[in-house]
Amino acid sequence: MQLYNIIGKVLGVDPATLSEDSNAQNTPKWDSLRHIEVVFAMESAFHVRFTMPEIASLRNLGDIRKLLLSKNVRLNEPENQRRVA
Amino acid sequence: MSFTSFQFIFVFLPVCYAGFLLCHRYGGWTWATHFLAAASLAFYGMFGLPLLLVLLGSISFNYVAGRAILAQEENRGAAKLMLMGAIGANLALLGYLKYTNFFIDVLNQLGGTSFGHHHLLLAIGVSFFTFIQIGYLIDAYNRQLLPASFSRYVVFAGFFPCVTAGPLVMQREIMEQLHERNDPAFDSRRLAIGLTMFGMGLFKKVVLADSIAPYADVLFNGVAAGGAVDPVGAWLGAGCYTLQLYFDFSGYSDMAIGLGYIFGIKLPLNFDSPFKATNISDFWRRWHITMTRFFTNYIYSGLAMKGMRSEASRRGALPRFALVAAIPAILTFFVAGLWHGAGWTFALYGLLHGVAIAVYLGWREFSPSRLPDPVAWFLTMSVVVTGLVIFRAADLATAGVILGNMWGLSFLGIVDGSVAAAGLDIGRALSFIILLGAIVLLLPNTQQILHRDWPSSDTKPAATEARAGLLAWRPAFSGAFAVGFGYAVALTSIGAGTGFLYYQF
Repeated sequence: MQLYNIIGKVLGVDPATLSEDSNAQNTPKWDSLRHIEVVFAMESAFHVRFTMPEIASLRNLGDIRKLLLSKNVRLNEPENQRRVA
Repeated sequence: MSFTSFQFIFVFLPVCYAGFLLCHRYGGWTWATHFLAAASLAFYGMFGLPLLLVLLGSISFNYVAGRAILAQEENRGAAKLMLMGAIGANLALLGYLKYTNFFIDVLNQLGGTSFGHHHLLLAIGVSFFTFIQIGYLIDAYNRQLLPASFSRYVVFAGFFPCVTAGPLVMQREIMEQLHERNDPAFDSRRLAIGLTMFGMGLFKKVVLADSIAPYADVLFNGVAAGGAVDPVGAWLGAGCYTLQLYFDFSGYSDMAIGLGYIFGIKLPLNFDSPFKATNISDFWRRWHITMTRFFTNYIYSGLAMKGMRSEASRRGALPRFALVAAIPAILTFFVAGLWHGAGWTFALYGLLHGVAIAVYLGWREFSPSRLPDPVAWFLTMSVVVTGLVIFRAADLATAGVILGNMWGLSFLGIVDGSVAAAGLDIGRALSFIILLGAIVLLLPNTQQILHRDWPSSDTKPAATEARAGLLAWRPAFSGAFAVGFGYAVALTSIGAGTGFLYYQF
């Protein structure tokens, strides 16, 4: 649950309350400043860099996962733990 | 032609709806979309042929520019150059139509010259259709577009419900709905919901906003003409204007969203009970939401990301906060203020909100304590009302006199605090503030009342149903009676009122 833990920590929310559909519209505390912090936390944790077009394309947590996977990031979480709301 | 005119309600809208259904019957959604594009141009054309030519020129140019940017998939440098050129062309049009005389004034003041004002077209909605299309160009560069024919593009950039004052739509959210659809064009429930939302907006505008408007005008026009005001009059007039603008602009937005829904196109929300916000950042997620979204997506995010990655932001919490939160927020809101028009009042309005957001974010980051909700609400509303005084005032001097009285500076001798309240009927103004204030603070908002058929392209928030309570709309006699009665009151109130306040932008 690496991804959920990092995002939960940045937002200051319980990672268990997050899902693949979580975004700024449906998650308390996920405002535009926190969004930038989430993106930067991803860049730091996984040693990748997102372009502005990539950042603009992120609509929810699931998109962040897809983007990380497209950059060959290995996420330490088994398939069955990915919650789809 | 305003949404509140009899010509629109009883001629344009029924004729347009009939044409839309006929086109759909014989040519499916393709022809229905062609028709909506033509009807949108006809609607805007009624403001004058020169204006229609401006809109058509802008739409054609941006459609071609967007495709040219998209075609540069391999050559990002060329795409960026095209993007800059196209945005520059849009800003040049906007600058010429809206800011020329302001620059002449500044030049005259600084250089002691005496250039006269230009007679410019009063291009209704120019800020809206220009910014909608600047967003489109950036989305083209970011490759965030869905395929669109020219007709579909016209419906996105010039759709008659949005062309005069928003909501500021994004290409993707409109195209997703127009793409390969095969639902029926006529849907009695969709028509009922759309007309209900349109009616609620009409009521908000012509009954509520137009009723309270004279009390705001007495203050602002009186002071601008050199009249006197006292603190009570200043507060009441400012309160009246705050409520007037909310009911005017959110009424307009409800009408626009209701119209879109009738024609099968869901539009994004623009208001979500903004006066219930308990911090200024939350306020901007509830007030003119699509404008906030535009400036957040296209200005704030880029600035904040640059700040976050900079070397300087690693030197400690304070430099990081300044580069990632405070400076981007202040710059973004400064630009958002100027978007409303040329003038020092709009610049100061944007600056005030930018600084207020920076202060709020700073408090959130660095202070361990949280203010009680009533205190936080009062502080938030203080910034909102102060900002709207600056926003409404004819000039900075008028704003200074009113704010000086509101915030007690008259007692310090900084401004003149006279005893008269510029002819304001204090009892009536106060009654209106209490009545309309109770509506915004205690009742559910339009989309909450209509939550069962959620009429917007935005995701429905989880708590919506609970907020609507017994007032949730359903197709029953009681609902039909309430909506019919509201229409009757609204339609008999049309005539005396003013146009929408946001038409000037």
